[in-house]
This record gives sequence, structure tokens and C-alpha cells, in this order.
Amino acid sequence: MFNFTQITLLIGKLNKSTGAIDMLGTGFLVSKEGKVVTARHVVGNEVNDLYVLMPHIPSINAYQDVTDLSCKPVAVNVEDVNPITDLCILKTNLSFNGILPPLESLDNILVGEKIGMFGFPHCVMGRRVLTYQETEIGAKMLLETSGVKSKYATINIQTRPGQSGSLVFNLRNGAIIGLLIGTYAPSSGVIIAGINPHELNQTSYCISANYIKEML
Amino acid sequence: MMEIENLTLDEWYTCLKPYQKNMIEQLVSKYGEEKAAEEWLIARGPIQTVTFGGNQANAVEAPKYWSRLKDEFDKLICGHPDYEKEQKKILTAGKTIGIGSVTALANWLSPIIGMSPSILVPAIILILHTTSKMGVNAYCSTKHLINK
Repeated sequence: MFNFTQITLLIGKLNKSTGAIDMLGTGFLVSKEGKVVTARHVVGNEVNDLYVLMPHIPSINAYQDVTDLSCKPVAVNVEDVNPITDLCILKTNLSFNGILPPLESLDNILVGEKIGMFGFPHCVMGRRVLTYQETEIGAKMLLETSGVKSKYATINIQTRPGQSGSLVFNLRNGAIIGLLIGTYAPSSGVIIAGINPHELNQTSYCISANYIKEML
Repeated sequence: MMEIENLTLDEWYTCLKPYQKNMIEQLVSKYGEEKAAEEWLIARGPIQTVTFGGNQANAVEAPKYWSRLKDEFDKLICGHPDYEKEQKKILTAGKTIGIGSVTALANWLSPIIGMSPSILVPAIILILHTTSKMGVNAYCSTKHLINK
């Protein structure tokens, strides 16, 4: 299987008032020439002071010291944005000599099949813990943005702020089949302690990885 | 006064990546050219989806980016002094804005609009095509630019 811990990266932005990097979400390496994909909403319309943080552990089984605030930031430029699919390609000057998992599509996995996911839940609150989750595809969907329909899957797991941009892979062969985007939550008209109750569901969305491939 | 090359939409689409062309064609068929440009610029992924992370402030700002692009495009095309240097470059290079000028336009407008050049390109070609159909003189005669 592929070494996902070395290609899953934190996306951050330099906070000029503190001099620290604010963590925005998750991304992952998609080319040996240093291209990184994340969800567009992770970086928003920012074009300056964006960074990826290099992997801080050699293996997912390492103990991750949450008191260690050191990091190795690498500057990135926004290379491409697709606002319809909510995807963004960032370019670093990194080069990668390992073997990258192939980018496939949700067409290559069946409902009920197992998937794995690597991401950084709670990173937007300053917590850096690369986390692995396993679940299965719950449904395949066509979701619409401005009248344009794209392929998504419901994955049967609840996710947290900071996990947007996480890589979702097929446990059968390691191929990347999606990228975590968010969850279904229509406006409820009620906000309790800052939370829309509809956000408290047990599923999440990922978008098909073929939309990443066409941007490279 | 500069001019915009009289190109078909398919010719302007050669500035786009295949996936962008595919999406823009769908938007144009649904909304028409100008509204398609706006929809592209302010889209934020599927509706009724809550996202996990990133800069949520941008979501509130989204509609402003379109009006900002329109305002700055008008200033650039219609001879506003804010873009004197850029206008001179276009006039020196042959007076005409064509496919070869799109990247430069996106790069000039990007820091002012606050969006990356890559997202601006599809919107710019649609605005250029719409404007070229009307003619720059006629288009600019409808604009009353404010010297900010």
C-alpha cells in the first residue's frame, strides 16, 4: 500500500500579526512535481502567504506530540481553482521521489466498499494530529452547483472542521477515489450555541477524484 | 481607444483548459454569457453543503467579487487613468485585445479583485466576448466611471 502519511499535508496561511501559521485544512500531493490538491473553500480566495506543512511523523503509528508547535512550512502558489467542484490546485517547489497513488474516480468503487481517509480533524483550532479513519461508501450522488452536476459520494462517517481536503482512498487497491468536501446541512432556521442542528449528522461528502485529475 | 478582437466564443474558449470549457459551456447554455461569468466567479461548491475548515469570511464576500471584476474591467477597457500603464501596453502591442492578452488581463486584475488569475480567466473571456459584440466604444459610452 502507499505511504499516505508522507503525502497528506496541512494547508496553512501565515498570520502576519502573530508570525505563526494558521492551519486551514487538509490537502495531499498529487504530482511528483509538487502539486497539492485541497478543497477550494480551505484557501478561499487567498492567493498570498499560503503554505503547506511538511509531514511531521514518519508513520501513522508514531505518537504525535500535540505540544510540539514546530513545523516545516513550504510556500505555495494557487495554480488552478474550480469553483464549481470546490477544488484548488496548489503548486510547491517540492519534488517527490516515491510512488504516488493513482487518481481514479468514484466510478471505480461500489456502494458498500471500504474506504480509508487521512486528514487533520480540528486543525483549524490549532491541533495537528494526522488521523486515519475507515468507513464505507454509503451512496453515490450527483450534486449541483449553479446548474452543473458533479459526482459525489456519501461516506458513512462524521467528519470535523479541518478535514476538508482529506484524501479518500479505495482500501482494495489504494487508489485515491475522492476528496472530502463537507456534509449535507440545509439551513434549519435555528442555531444552537453557534451550531446548525442539521450539521450534527453522521455522514459526509467526498467529490470524485477524476475532477482533480482533469485539473492537472 | 483599444479594441477587442472579433472572435467567436469557441475561439475564446481556446484560452481554457478542457474541463473549464466543459463547465463554462454548461453555464452559458443555462444562464447566457454574462450571468455565466458571474455564476462561475461566485460559485462555492454544491448547495446545502457545510464545509469543514478554511476561511468562511470569503463566503459572505462572494457576490462582491463579481461587481469588483466588472468595475475594474470597465476601467481598464474604457480608459480610466488607474490603468494608464496597462492601457499603454495594449496600445503599444497593437491596440487590440485578443486571446494572447487574456493572461495579462487576469494577472493585472487579480490583486485588485482579490482572486487568483486562474479563476478570473473564464469570466474575463466571457466579458470580452460580450463586450466585443457591442463594440468597445458603444460599451464604454454606457459607463460612467468614477475616479476613485
